[in-house]
Amino acid sequence: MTISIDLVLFALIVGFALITSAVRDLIRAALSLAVISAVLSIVIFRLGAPYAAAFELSVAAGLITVLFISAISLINPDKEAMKESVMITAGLPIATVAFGALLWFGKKYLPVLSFMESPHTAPIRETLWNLRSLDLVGQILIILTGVFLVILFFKEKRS
Amino acid sequence: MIALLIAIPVAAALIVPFLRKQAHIVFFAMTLLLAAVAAYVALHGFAVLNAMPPWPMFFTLTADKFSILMIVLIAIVALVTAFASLSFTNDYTYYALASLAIAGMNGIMLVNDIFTLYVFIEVASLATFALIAFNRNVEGFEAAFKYIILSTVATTFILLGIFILYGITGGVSFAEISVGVKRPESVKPGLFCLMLLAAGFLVKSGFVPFHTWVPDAYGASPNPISITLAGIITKAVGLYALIRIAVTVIGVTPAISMIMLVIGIITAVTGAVLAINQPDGKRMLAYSSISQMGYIVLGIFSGNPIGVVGGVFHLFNHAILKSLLFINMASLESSTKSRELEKYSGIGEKMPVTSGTFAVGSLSIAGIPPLNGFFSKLFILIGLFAAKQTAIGVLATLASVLTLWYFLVFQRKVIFGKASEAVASVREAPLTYIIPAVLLAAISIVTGIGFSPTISAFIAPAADVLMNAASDATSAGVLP
Repeated sequence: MTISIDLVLFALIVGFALITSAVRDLIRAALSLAVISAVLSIVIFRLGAPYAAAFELSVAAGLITVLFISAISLINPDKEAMKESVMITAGLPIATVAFGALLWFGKKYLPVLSFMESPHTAPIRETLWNLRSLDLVGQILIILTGVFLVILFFKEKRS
Repeated sequence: MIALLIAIPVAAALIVPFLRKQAHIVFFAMTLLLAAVAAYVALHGFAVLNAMPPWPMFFTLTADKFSILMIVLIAIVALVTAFASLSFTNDYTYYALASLAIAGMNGIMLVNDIFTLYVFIEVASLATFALIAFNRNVEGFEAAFKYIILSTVATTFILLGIFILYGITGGVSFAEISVGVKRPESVKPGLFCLMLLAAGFLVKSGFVPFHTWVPDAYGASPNPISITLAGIITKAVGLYALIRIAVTVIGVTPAISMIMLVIGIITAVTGAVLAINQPDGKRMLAYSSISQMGYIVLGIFSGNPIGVVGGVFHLFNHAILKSLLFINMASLESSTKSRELEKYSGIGEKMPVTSGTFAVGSLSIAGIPPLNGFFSKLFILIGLFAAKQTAIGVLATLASVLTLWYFLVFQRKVIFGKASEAVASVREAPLTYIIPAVLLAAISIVTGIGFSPTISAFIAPAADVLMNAASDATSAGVLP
């Protein structure tokens, strides 16, 4: 079971790496990269390094993604792309909160979530909610900042 | 209570998209509320916030006297920014981003974990990046681009330092690091981490030679953001973090102090030299700001109690005075539609309140008695000479003379200069600029004349935090 889950995680990383390299849309590429980081953080967690996993999730999947989307917003004047990136960026805090809620409330109803647990360390939800909870607050604020930043840069110039 | 310092600005950021026409009022109310909470926290001294039982989360926020001083400064500068913003824009994204920058800065003051410190630094930095480019003109984008590139370089250094510290100490909380780096085998790696972290924080606070983003960012930002940026943001995300980690977490030793003194004096002198003959008012103030940041470091790392008190007092004074000078510059720019100093010739008669408060701010920052800037600089110089840092003390005095020079030249042009036709129809700035300028000038005068009670009540307790931590590190005797 363990081997197959690791293989699935490995396949996800390779798959999204290919998507990141192949897609022409920069925002989709940034999001694929974020997924790689998120999966990688699960791998790191399973290897018994919960803090490193939390850092990978915070820095690579959170901050770097916001920076990429912000930079793309800055250089891309396409109105359609604007709507998409506002929606995607606005969806990130919702996704973060939903992910947290799933970890906290969903475990007893969704045993499949146990694939994210490590035999060596405390449960992932304990790491995120009890040990690194203030980081989560900060991450939500970073993503929220990214939302306003994207909205600001895509607004039409005022007279 | 101290969790409100983060929760209130975040709530404002979430509310303004729904109250777009009243965004400026929501922001103003938020800064008033924040000032009230900051005053409460300041009056109740040391505070710790622990668990929130109904929540699934558990986190600890702490505030010592040094962070409380910074929280009060953040609240004052935020209130001034809110005043100045009333006549600037009604764009809700501006107020949301400014609120998040304030939340990030307050978070920096309240955390007790180096990685969380980094996360909140990034919250404030990202919001600042957007605010610098708020006007969405070429100048703003260029400044924001410079800021984000250098900020990212700084982030790389900071993260590398954090991860190596985690590797050698096994933890990321301040307490774990403080104990971990004092183990004999951790001394050299700890010193290397401190160098990495210091490099990152020095970039974020614009010390020479990492200062190139500062004049562009201060110059290109909307006026209220220049006030916040110069008044508090660079201090919170760079200088405070540097002092917190170097002095109270890892510990300062004579070798580290000497390195910081050299960086401080180079910054103080270079900033002062570059400020001379700047034709653009905001850029002149930006270089002056760089110079004064060097002064703060000279005091805090002087290794002498009087110098440390002077450094902390100058940190307080500089936040007040630079906010005052930038709000004066905003007044001058809004009245003349120009940032060129030449265009302000003879404007003193037309804008007496702005010119008067500018005189208070500039004379104080140049170190003229009995204003607050005089006393903080005096204490820094006494501290340096008492610590036998004579050469640095002499150079610091020279930097102060240079500061006086360029501000006097500016005074002569603005107040006593021959009135040009360009200023013939100029009128005094709006009340949204005048009220905070008068308030800040009053703080400068009151804390100057009443420097003794000010130091006893606010500055010395904050300086004690730094001095006690420094003496602990020295008595441990493990760092070179």
